[in-house]
Amino acid sequence: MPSADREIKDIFQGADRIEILGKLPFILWEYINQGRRLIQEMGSGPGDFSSSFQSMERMLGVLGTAADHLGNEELKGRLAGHTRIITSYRNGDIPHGDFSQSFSSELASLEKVAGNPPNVTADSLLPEDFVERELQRVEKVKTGRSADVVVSGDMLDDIRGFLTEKVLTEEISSILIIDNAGTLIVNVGNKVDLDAISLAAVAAANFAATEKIARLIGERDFVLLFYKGRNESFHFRRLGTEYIIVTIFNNSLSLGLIRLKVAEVAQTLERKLPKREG
Amino acid sequence: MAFINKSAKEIQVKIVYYGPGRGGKTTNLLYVNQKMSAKFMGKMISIDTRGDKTLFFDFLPLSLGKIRGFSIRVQLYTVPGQVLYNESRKMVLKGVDGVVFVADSMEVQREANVESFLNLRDNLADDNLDLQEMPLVLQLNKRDLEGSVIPVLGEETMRDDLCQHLKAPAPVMGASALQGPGVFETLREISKITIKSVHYKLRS
Repeated sequence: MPSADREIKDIFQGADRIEILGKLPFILWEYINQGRRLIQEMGSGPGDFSSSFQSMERMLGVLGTAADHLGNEELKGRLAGHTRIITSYRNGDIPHGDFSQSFSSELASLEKVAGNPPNVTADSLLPEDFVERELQRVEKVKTGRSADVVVSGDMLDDIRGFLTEKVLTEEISSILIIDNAGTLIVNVGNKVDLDAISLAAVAAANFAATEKIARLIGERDFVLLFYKGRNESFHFRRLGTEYIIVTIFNNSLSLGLIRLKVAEVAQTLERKLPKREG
Repeated sequence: MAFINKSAKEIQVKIVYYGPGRGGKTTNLLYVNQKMSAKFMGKMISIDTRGDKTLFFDFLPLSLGKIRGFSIRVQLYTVPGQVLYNESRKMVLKGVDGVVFVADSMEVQREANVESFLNLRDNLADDNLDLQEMPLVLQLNKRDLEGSVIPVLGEETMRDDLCQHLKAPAPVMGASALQGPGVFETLREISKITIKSVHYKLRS
């Protein structure tokens, strides 16, 4: 993969991390509160607590990663203690009564490093499924799938080869495939002075803006955009729901021909492009 | 560049929320959109991606009553914060009358704040606008993280970081866009100084 592609991905992952760190206090306190509820329920009699444990283990996994990013060793240590005690209880190594007691003291010691609980008022903007949504987001970052679309070098080479062979002609100076978020996926062509990364970001923004225009007049979206310049022109077309193909061509080529050409290869490209995960 | 319609007695100003990615610019607008009475507000338009990053801008038109017989319409915009979208940011900044700089209080974002602030200065300069003369409010967002496990920058530090690039210090507001405190205070302050500056320009 060319370095430019990798660079963009890193920017996004960094941003996700910032977002997660900002939400860490909420998740931490949600864990503590859920732990307290669990102890209460266990005190009122035997039952099946496996779903509570599952959700708490999930939160622990996420909190551990976040504490890692944060470099907070104390928090990391306490969280590791929680994982240990839950695992040994679930393996049947500690009896019921002992677990409640030691887990409760572990929770108390975690509370000490957790800082102030977040002040959630009726005025807050937090949605109800906030914790669940954040958990999903963090788990994606943890597994390195935060970019949602994963492309392999082979896949890119295949698409690049296909575009060069089937679409690129003398009149077409560049073809770009970008995704809805403005990430440059593939860039082929000979327009050397092209700032493809900026172009991709602005083109996606433009496409999204015209989609809003479409909605305002009751259309779902515009599937095709065309801009005519003095020497060169732009043609945008949607590929499936995720991608946009941008063609830059000189004015000796007619618009009809370019539309036909792009329409011809659109289906093949849709098949070749990676699907969004999750 | 404010738009003044003398026959309809209307002044329209553009206020842009600027700042590093994931800092809470869109959340500011969302909060205003949710808490303000609908009769003073148009429809909020967000052009974002699936991952809820702003791709181009968010837009929220408000009407803020009358001053000397002129009705005041304010259009709030946000820019995409991610480094990648600089061209989009430049487009949104065109013709801006006032800027709210939303700085992120998290310690890890200290550099990103300054970088974004300098980027604002450069992008304004590209449009022949001077940051020093621009109505500006500095919002220190995510103050609700104070006292939590996340290390947060002190207000003084943040103020110094940003104000060292200004000739005269700008008003500073602590805020938590997710919870609400500071959001309307910021909006009130920036509207006040923007309209004052438009009024001043009109007279001269």
